[in-house]
Amino acid sequence: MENSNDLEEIWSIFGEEIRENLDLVEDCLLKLANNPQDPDLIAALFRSMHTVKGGARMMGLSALETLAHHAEDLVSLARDEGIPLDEEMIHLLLLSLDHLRQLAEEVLCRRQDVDQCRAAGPVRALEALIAARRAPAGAPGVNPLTQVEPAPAAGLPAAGAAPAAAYVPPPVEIIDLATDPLSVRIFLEMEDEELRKIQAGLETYIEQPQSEALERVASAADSLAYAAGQMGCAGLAEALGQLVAACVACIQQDDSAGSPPVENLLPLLVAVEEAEVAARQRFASLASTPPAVVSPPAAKPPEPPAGETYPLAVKDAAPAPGVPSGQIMQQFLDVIGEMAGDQTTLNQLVVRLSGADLLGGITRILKFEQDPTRALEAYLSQHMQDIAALTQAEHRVSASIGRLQEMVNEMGISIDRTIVDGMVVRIGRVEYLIPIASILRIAGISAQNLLRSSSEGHRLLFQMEEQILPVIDLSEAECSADGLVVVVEGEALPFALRIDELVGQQRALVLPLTGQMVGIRNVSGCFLHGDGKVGMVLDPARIEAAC
Amino acid sequence: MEKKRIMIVDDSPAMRLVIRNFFSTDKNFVVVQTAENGRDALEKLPAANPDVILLDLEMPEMGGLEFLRHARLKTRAKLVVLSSVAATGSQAALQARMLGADAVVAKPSGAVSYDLAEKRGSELWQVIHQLLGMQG
Repeated sequence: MENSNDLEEIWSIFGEEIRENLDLVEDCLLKLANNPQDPDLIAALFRSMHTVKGGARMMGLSALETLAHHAEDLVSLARDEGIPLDEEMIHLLLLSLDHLRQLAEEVLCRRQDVDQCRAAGPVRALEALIAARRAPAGAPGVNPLTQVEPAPAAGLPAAGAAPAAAYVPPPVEIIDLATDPLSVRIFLEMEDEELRKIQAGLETYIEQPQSEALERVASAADSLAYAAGQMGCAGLAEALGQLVAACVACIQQDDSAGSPPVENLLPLLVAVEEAEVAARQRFASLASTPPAVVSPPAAKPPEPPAGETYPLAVKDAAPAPGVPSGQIMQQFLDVIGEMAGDQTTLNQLVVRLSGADLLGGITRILKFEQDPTRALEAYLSQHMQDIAALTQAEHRVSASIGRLQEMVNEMGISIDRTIVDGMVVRIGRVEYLIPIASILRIAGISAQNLLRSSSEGHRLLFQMEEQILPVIDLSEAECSADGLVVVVEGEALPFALRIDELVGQQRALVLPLTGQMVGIRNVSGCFLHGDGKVGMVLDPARIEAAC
Repeated sequence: MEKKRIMIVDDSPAMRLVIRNFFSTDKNFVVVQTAENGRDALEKLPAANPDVILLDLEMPEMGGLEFLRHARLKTRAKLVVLSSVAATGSQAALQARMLGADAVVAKPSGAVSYDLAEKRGSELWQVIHQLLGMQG
């Protein structure tokens, strides 16, 4: 219940509001007299009349409300029903405006309602004109001035009537946001914005490890996770949820230990970005569908170059004089892309040639072919072509590496170990590069070679011939008796690193970790995939030390 | 019990004040933010973190229907449309429901008659208690 001060304040604000809106109504009507079909003016006129009606209804001023409601109905013919606003309609609306002003000043002066019949005349005229404009062509016209019997005000309770029954909305089918182009656009814009916040927060944290930056990352990831869930992007929502959980864990350790570990965050970010790409591809067709109603887009910062994801490794790069940093980055990624294509070709040829049993093939040709000379020529020719293609691919990869090194120098990045031959493996969702030089063997796990020690907390062991090696599992998943291990040479002893997938061999451009990242356990650097994404380079010595 | 956080989105200052006053009579609620249109509400939403958003439909710049599309992605708050046309089952009210409004309630009326809570206000009060799982 309001006290008298509250009521006086409400009257005062209502007075300002209704006068302001009636002025807006007049302004719109005068402009519409010259340009009666302007949709923006019609929409503005409707809104102002609607606000007058709503305010009057709120204050319990039935005459004002009824008259504003009918005037709004007349405007809605033009706004919602495609009936053109004409001179007669504008004239009647101006007359109604005069009545509304008169009634408004009176109720504001008296601080109470006036008799509803005070609005009866203009209300009847408005009803008649609405009916006439809605009547089909050829139907007898209705003269508003001769319309005597008032029709009941649609949708409004009569004065003194009991309040309407509570509105119970009928069951409706809620729109699936994933199929609604406008919602998809909103989601994609939101995705861009929140991912930028996540990346910026992580970069800030790496430079200056304070929990506020991680809180911003967690907040943005949480918001985006919710939106992704609403859009049916379960993979993205899950990846973001894991990032949120890892941030919270880091913040808690930060609070207690003062030395926050961040080693889990970047692989999780990579997983988020992969899921984000999948989500974006899913909505690609809908996002380009022009929506029926679009609000003016907010000013957005320029988009990152195509293919660029998390610019961790080159964020500090100084652009070459006169050349925009984005352009250098794009060139850099283009070269990486070319190199990845050549590297794939190279790998395929190496596999084909190394798997070929050249001697066996020649023996078969000599034994079974009717024309062994021609068959042998063709057989060797094919192999020679493969060898030539392999040599060319090697040259191209070497050239790409040279160009990358030049560009990296140009960007001012200091690199200790630029190129590493490594084996790319997947552990959980993250791909790691293990330097080839440190790999002793790759083997399958079986019930025979996977053991569990009776001491040391029942840790898992891998038997390789006569050696028993500790099994290290970075994914923290339950190790089952299948999958693969990479036996890696540590500084003191070898150990078996459990992996989920052997992705392939790659000569990779490795960038060093900087700032706070230097202390990340298990990782010595990051490398760039062919598509520009960042992966982690495992450091066997650090893994061994951690264990 | 922690107070439930209310955000009011309406272009009418008087309506915002009336609704704010309405909730000020109930110690279970606090109005944490008001906004004069959908765009204004989107800017204020992260800091406000409301439990319930009371939303008008007809507003300049960004109306209630467009705001609902954003809100379904950007907030977990319950979305209650306060519409003066809701009782007639208008197209706008139906669209609001289809866009995910948790409830559509007629705007309060007769605010100056000292019995708001016994008129439309009571419906609003009941709907919000029901949506938030609060005991009436």
